[in-house]
Amino acid sequence: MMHPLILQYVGRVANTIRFPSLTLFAADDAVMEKARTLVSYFYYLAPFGAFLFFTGMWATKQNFDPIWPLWWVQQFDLSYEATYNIVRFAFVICTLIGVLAHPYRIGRLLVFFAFWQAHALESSFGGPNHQWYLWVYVAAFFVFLPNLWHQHDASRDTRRTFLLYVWAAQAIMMLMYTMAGFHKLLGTAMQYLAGEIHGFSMHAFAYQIADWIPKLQREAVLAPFIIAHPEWGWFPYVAIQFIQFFSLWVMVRMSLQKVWAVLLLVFHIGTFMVMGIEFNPLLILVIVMFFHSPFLGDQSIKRLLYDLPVVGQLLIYLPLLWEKVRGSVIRTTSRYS
Amino acid sequence: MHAQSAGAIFPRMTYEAQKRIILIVLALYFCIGLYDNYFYGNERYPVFSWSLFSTIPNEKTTYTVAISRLGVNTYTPALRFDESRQLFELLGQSPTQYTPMIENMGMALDRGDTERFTREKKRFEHMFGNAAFTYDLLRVRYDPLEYWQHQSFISTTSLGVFTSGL
Repeated sequence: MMHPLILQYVGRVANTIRFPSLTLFAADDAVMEKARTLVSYFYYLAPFGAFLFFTGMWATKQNFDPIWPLWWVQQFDLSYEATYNIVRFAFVICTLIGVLAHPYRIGRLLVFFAFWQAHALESSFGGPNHQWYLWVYVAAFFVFLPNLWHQHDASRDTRRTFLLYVWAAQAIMMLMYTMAGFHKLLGTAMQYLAGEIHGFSMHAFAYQIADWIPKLQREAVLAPFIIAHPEWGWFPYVAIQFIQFFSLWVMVRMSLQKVWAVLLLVFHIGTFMVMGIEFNPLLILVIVMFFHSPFLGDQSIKRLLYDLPVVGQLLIYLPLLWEKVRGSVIRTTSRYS
Repeated sequence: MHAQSAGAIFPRMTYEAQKRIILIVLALYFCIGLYDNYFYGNERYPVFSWSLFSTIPNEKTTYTVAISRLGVNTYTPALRFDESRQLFELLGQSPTQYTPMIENMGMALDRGDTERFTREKKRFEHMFGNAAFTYDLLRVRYDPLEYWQHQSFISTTSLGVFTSGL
């Protein structure tokens, strides 16, 4: 039988990862304004993404092998040239429409289709593109938003529903980072048990870089330094596994969203410096979705500390546990004195 | 009576029901990603496992190619895959997009899985369109740090020289 104190602790931890109540947030006009602004900025930046896509080296690509969302390419027997021109022009036009029409579902639907088709085209050359995946997912969740731009006397439920889909769009992003962290920690455990160099080893980062850079064949400014001085890479490599793994935590402890977004930016910028990997579209999305999050609330140091995963729990429950242990010791000693 | 979300895409669906659906979608995404990564062994659009750099590359056996001809250019000695970025840049692509394909080709050949080998080979050779393309598929044993310092494999075995586009 488990000790009642442990049971109580498990119960309290379970309580802290419950779905956050959006009702209070929905009652606050300032929160709703921030949520609307966040969504609008997603659509304001979309044409920039479409323009980056438009200027890609489409004409020189050789191995076009359309994946299933581009079913219409074979249906209408279109050439590769016709396909990429249709998709890139449509992408720019739809995202420009989205800038003006995103308060309406049809506008958001157009933007979603444009992102989806562009991403499918980008993924039709041997393997899926991972850079723009999250723009597609976020655009998909935003299709379901109720129109709060022209509805000033919206009901509590409509306001909550709006926040729910903003939360969902943020959650799918953080879920992605958590999945990445999950695989890394699982890999670390498996390699540790197999007696191999693992994710917590001193040389872990050096091995990762030495394997990757020759494949990428691009200079990474800090790669030689980390390989020569692996001790400098140890802490960032271990830390990033935990930061990624606990990313989804900030969807229930939402005061941490901005802090986590900064940590993720540091991760992406650092990854470019050390491994030469660019995740630029994701960088922009993290900024848009989390720096102006409507769910930040109290940003005091104390709140942030208490909301931290593991650390926050210890800060809350260790003093309680200490009090209980001390109380029982005092009772025992007074019985025998 | 349940509250209804006016203006939502599912006006008859309660807020709580939509919340449950979202949580199920997120959980399903996680489960499919895990399944695809550990059991299916491939990526199924539009879901991705996000398993990136999940293990540390210890000393290992892997596969690579050495390109001896592409179009009108011949390379003597053969161009190692890790020196071939310029060829991919001309196509607007990154060589890292092709490393899983090379791995799959080599593993399929070693396993005697002719069907998989043929499929992966076709995809790999397709990257340079119809240009004449000759390459040696190599099984190599290597330690990443050793390779970084000395640019040499522990051992190299040729699995065959292949030509396409002629």
